Amino acid sequence: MRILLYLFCFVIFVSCKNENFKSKDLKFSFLNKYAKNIRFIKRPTYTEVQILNPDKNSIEKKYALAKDISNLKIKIDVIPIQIPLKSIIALSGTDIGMLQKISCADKITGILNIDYINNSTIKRNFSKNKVKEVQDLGQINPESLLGVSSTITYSGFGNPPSNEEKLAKIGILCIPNYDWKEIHPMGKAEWIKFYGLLFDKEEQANTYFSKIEKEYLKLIKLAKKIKEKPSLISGSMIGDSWYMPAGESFNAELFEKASSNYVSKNSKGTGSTAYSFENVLKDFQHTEFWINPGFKSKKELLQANSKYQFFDAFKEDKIYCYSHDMNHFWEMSAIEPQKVLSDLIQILHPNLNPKKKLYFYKRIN
Amino acid sequence: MKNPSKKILLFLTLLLFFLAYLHVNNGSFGLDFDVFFKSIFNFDENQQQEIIFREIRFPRTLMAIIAGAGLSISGLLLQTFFKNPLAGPSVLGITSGSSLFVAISILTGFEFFNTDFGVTFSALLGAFAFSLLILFFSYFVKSAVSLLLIGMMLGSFTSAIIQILQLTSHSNQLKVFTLWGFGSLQQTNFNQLFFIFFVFIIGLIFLTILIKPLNLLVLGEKQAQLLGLNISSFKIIIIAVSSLFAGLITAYCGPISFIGLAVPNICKQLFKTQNHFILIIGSALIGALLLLFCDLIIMYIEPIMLIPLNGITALIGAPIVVWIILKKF
Repeated sequence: MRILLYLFCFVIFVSCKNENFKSKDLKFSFLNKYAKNIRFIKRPTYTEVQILNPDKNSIEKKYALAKDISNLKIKIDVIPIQIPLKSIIALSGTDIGMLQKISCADKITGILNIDYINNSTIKRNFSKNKVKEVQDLGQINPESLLGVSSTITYSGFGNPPSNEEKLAKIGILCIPNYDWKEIHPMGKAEWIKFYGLLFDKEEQANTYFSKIEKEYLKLIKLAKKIKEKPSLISGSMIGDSWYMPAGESFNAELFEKASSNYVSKNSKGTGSTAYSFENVLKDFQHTEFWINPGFKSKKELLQANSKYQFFDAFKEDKIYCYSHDMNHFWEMSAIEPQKVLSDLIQILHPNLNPKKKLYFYKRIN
Repeated sequence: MKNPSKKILLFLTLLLFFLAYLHVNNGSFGLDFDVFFKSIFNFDENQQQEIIFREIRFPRTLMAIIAGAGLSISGLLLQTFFKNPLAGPSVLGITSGSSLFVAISILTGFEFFNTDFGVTFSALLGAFAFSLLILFFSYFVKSAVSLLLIGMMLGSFTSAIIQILQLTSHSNQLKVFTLWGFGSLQQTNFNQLFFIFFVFIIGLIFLTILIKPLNLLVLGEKQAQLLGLNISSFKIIIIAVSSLFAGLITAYCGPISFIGLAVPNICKQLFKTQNHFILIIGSALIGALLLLFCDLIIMYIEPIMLIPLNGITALIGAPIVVWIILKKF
């Protein structure tokens, strides 16, 4: 009998903890086309935003966004946010790109590290001491963020920052961002709708998203017509293994859409797949293109590992990386996936438009 | 061959050849001696198998042998010198000194230090500086355990400085240093082997003149002096040779723990002798065997999971260290 009681309690506990994606609330929501890790539900007096943890397959946070939160009737697990926000501490590069696209870069009052910033507004404000470097959210003294902003967005890793509770007690809210876990390139970009809601610029965000979606779909249509599929490897050695985006990952999706024969397309998973150097050399030495090695020059590549010289792509100068300006890439690529795709098509099929210049990417010399 | 030590040495040598064969044979295709020798003496860079042998397998196997042997010899020298079975390049802070100097060279981004020679020079300098520091402390501290504690404190001190350097360094430099810290036998290439081998041979040449003094030192410092040993110059040479091995290997493979500490003790148990001619050869062979064995484990379980070299050496070395402590302290 006691066992049955424990079993019953356990079932109740589990069912309470893992709130499933298939909520009955879905019928009230405006569904995302691509993003899987965020959901918006329109309520009569507020918009509910649910941030979903892709690893745990459950809702991590719920927010009620409203212009007036004083009389909101919401459940205890829903956190009210008064909109529009006056400022934000944006710790992920992708947040910065999205805020720039809705003309809110000047609302950013906190960043991770100025060395990783490309945005000119932030750089200017930083020089005027209007932007604070947070460095490490888990290590920072919460008190030092008082007066900087009452909202922080950070890249979610499944666990909240260690001092989230202390920050909450002094009125600072930490919002996880899982755009980096989106598999579809347009899914990453769709997170702009969240920032649109936070700053009451919903229409501007939606308009921008529709515009890039059209461009993205047009490029896919163009790439579909190309019969030639050049072979492609990606990544590079980290320690003793070569990490390549897995077959179901965001990058693999882009490589496929750009009409290429990506060597790791059949590997499982949405993260990356590790290969030994010997296997990469044996199976992929003669691959035509090498994309995203993470280095700016062949000299840097050789310094990291002299064995790269044996790859055909290295010998024939067919290595490309997002190295025009790496900070620019990290800030803008999520919100400009059509430009990433356009670059990849241009790299792999230069005859389509020989005069076209690359935007994010650069040939590595 | 009546001497059991010689029999054991012969057996270890044969075992080393066998493990080295297994090591170089492991991969996507088996060992073809013809291709293997061609890859070393008549290399054709259009032949994929030759590239794999020359640039991947051979350097990895040779580094396992050199690193295992070098760290074990370094540990043996320190243990005899400090009369302490728990002395070793990693325990006494010598590897930490190397790491600190390599961290300074990599994380500060000076062009000179980004070369092979720069990193090796830093590692050797760090090892030698911290060895001298330990030598300095050994004049004041007589207890073996206290000296080990000082070594550990030096390790903590360097870790703190490295952490501060990491906080202020660029992400690329940080990545390079972090990966170096995991320890690996795969980062060297064929061209670097000549330099590594050259320095290793220099160390071995110095060892030949150290054997007799080391055997005298076992009798005690006073006794050794009475028998004509110049203790002060001997100390500097032993510290220099020990640092040379530890620094060289730390530069190319990262800090590898436990080998330098555990192997000389295994060797002494196996040979039951104080003759350093036997102990040096024995330690070199056992060290090479142990590191080859650790790396073979990594190779075999690689399809399932990736384990850094230091993870395996710690799994095998830590129980041995506990055993030494239980037995001798």
